[in-house]
Amino acid sequence: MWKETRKIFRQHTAGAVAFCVVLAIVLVALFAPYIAPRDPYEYDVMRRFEAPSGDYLAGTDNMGRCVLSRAIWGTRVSLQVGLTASLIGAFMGLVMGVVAGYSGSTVEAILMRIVDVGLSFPFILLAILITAFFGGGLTNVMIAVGIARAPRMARIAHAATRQVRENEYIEASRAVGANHIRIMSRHILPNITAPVIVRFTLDVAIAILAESSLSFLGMGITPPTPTWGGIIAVGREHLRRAPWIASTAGAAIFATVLSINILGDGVRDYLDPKVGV
Amino acid sequence: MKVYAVKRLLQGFVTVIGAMTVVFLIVRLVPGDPVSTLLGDYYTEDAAAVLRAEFGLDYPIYVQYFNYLTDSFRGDFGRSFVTGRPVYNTLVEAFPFTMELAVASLVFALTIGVPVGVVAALHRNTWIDMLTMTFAIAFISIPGFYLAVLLLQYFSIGFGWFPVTGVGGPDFIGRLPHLVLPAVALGAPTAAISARMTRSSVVEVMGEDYVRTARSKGLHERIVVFKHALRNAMIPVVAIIGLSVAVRFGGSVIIETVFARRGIGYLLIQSIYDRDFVQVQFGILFYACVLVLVNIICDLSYAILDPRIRYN
Repeated sequence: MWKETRKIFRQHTAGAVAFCVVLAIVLVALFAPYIAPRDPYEYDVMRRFEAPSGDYLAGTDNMGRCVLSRAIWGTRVSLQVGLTASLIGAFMGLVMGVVAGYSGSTVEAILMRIVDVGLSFPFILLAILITAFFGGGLTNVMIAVGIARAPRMARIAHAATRQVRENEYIEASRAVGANHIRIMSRHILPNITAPVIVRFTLDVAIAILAESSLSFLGMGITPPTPTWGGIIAVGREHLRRAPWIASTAGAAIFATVLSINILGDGVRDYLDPKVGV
Repeated sequence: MKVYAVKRLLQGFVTVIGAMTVVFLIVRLVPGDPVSTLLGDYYTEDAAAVLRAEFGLDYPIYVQYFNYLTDSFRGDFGRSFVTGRPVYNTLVEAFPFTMELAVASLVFALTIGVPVGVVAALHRNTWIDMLTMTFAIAFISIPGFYLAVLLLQYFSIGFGWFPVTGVGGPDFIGRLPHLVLPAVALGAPTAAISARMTRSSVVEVMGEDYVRTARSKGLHERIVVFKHALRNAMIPVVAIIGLSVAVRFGGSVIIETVFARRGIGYLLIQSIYDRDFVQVQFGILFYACVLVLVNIICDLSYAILDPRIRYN
């Protein structure tokens, strides 16, 4: 086990380092109440726009709130949305993609036209549309981003399923009387995990970016809940006076998304060495 | 090829109808009454009835849907709830600003991304490769709106080189300074994606037999790279660029909002804030049509770039 881990670290150093960073970010999210130096909602109007100092490591915002504490608590929201939305997208996409790829003919044509319709909207626009009309808030944002990601996952799952369904073991399981649901869940699904896991990892990063974009536009999580996008939106209004507000949240998004992207690349190289040229 | 093109166009048409249906349903099934939202404090039963009749909202939903489809095919996309103007006219006025931004960001992305990708591939596994690909993944990971804020912070507010917001003067030269930062903010991720894609594609192609043959004929390396390798390596890049253009169009919604550019994205966000359903419906439909069209163009361009691909 230890030997295997060392081998993976040696062969995929960047991915392994990224994995450690992602793990650290997850820990920050889990232990936010213990790590954040102050209450993210606590304001002090006498200390508005205070530059980074010993008291406030990343300065204060327009209401005198600790920017660092808000960014740390923002990690929770971002990871929660990133993971849940990607899970929703993966579930919906897998069901559609696998059923379409396995069944073929009319069912495939209908499902893939639905996927095409989903793909005809720029992803972020679909998420904006859903949250704008059905309201922001954590649950709606997760559902909106998840629904908007589903067609992308469906396309990947569909292509992978079409390849797998031609294998002899699928024909063999059909010959011994396995029903369609069993074939899809026990024989197809386990054999399409590589592209699905890679897509899922990258989708987490995309979902985090989407949530921050929605919050930045004021259509995501409602203030005063600390979110990275929301912090940048406040920072943008006060760029001249307090550039540290946007920078802190921007750095948090950048570090998180970068690590997840590098991890995604690493996972892809590990699962399919032919792809990583 | 012709058959394939017609088939793709028909598929695209069906997809656009599907997109129109989805947008119609989202906009109409929204909780609450759009007329009461629009009238706000001025709400009376009579005023609401007049508005409902004016916008055809007093019909059952399936009749509204049928009217929406038939009116759209006649070129009547409806009037704005807020301004009362035809939504088509408002969108056409905003179109040049978005088009300018999309083209400028694509030009920026390709002039940076493709050469960087080629250089990285030709110097595979050297520090040049490492450095360029690290920058590439960094630019993919930075949110467009934050990059826009950073550019504003340094180049507009800090150095004062570019205007902060707006679209600028009446002609292209007057608008150019207002275009640079939004184009960079929107184009940087596409440049990064193109660089990564070009690199892996060129690396793959450089190992092909025909490249070895070209080299063994004694051709100059420049000819081998540009005439033999690059053209073939560009096929997957075209696919990514096509998808990126679509993504950029989506991203322009946010970038135009940050830079207060009066393009379609900005118009769309303002319409969403104003609950102007008809304008939102048409704006989204426009984006869906662009995306479908770009995808078809990409698919057809494969055949032009690669003679082995024959769709008939």
